[in-house]
Amino acid sequence: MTNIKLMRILFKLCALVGFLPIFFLALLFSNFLQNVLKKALKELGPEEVNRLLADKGLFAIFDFLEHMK
Amino acid sequence: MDILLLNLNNFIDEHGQESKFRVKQVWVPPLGLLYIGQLLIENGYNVKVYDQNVTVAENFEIMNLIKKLNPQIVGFSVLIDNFWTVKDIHKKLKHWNPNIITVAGNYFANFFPEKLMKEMDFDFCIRGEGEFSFLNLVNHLDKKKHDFHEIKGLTFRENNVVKSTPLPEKLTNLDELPIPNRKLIDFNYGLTGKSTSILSSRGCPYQCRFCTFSIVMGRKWRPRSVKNVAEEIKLLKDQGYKDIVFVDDNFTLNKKRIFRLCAEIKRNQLDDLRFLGVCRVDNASFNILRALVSAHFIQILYGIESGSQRILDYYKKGITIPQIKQAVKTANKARLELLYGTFVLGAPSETLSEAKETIKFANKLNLTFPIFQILYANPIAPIYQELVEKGQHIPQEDDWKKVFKIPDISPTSIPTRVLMKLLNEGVTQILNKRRVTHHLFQALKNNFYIDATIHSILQKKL
Repeated sequence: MTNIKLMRILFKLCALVGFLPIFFLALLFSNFLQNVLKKALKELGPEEVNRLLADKGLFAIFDFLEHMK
Repeated sequence: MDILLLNLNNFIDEHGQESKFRVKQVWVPPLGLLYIGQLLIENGYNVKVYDQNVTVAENFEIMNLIKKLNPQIVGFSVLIDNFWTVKDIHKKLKHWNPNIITVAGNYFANFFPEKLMKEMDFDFCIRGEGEFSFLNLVNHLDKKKHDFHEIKGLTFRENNVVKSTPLPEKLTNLDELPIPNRKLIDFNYGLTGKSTSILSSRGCPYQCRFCTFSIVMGRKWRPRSVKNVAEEIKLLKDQGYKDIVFVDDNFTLNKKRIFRLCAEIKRNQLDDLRFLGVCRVDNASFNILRALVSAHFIQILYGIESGSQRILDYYKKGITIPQIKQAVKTANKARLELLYGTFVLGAPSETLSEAKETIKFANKLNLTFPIFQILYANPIAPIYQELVEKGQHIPQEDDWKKVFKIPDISPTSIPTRVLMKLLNEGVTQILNKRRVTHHLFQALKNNFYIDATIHSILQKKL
């Protein structure tokens, strides 16, 4: 198995373990995601936020959180 | 002869201030410089291409590189974005060694050569398709010939007077060009670390009001042969590239050629690479999209631009709302992994309800992501010229150096402040509660997103 395939599987596992509960919680506590997005929009502007979303899908949330530190 | 070709960034503003916020802004290399570079190499010259967009080096580092390489010729790709950085580096370079010959190409050299030579004191500007004009110029300089009138597409000084020769004919057989040499830049591009671009055709017969590509590359569509494109893809595979972005002005214009290209990709077992491309909605038949998917095109971007038929007609897009809806439906039926659509807000006569309609329309379509932008135009764009003709924008002397947000200069546009608010709403709607789960599964199952995220994490760690 190539390195990249292994990394993808590891990434998916980590994402599932760490990420899914966050998002299901986010769905439950509905405003979390919208708040992250609102802050990112303020920090980066809509065009940059849109670009990041298109480039990385929902994983762009990591970039948003980083910019909000 | 040693030649350095530079693609600089926009780290300097018009007041000469260097920005501290430096981010990599590209994920594909400057293909035009790589074409020129390879042609020069094949004719016996030493060439180095440097892209500040990917190295994010500071200007003093660029100067150190120039001093170290000490080339006889330095070529600059001069764009609106990097105008002030080019000015800064050019000034420093000429101050350090006035004997280095400097050559400008790209946007400013094409449309404002005299003004550019006056502003920055370049020795030469290359106009039109630059590959052979640049080579002819270097040959002349190498042989110490001084009759520059013989070189088509050149602007130069003679007895302190700026003169221009006629433009060269557009290349009719693009297969004559060498395959651009990506190894001329020692950096990995891309969201996933192993991406590059490819140009399989030049020109576009359409005349969209906001677009200036056809002004540069011409309205006649000129394809490379399928065999020639497949050869380049094979080479890229051998060089370890994984993602290849087709950056044609109009990639899917000739459907038969797309079928042949997809078949050639599969026949040569190149479909383990990932391809990304652009498609007009009126070309997006099921058969075409299915062929693209089977050749492993994972992403297609539609230029949709508006949800209002009146605005689409104003842009001269030549597409209809039903065609857009059908194209999105067809792409999903063809099982395309990632489907994007671009939307432009801020046309001079666009009403608030039309802009809102576009945002609603974009978010209702079954796209992976809509991409919203504000309408920009430079002084060669038809929209800018119409505003000047109507007396709605009084041109200023330094307009030629700028690009304008249309809402900033058009009194009939929705004000920028209101548009930004709309844009915020549009982007917020992308991640509304109903769609989060959809996006989550999309992200987890999509290797492209995963690779991009792993790559950016690794890059931050390094």
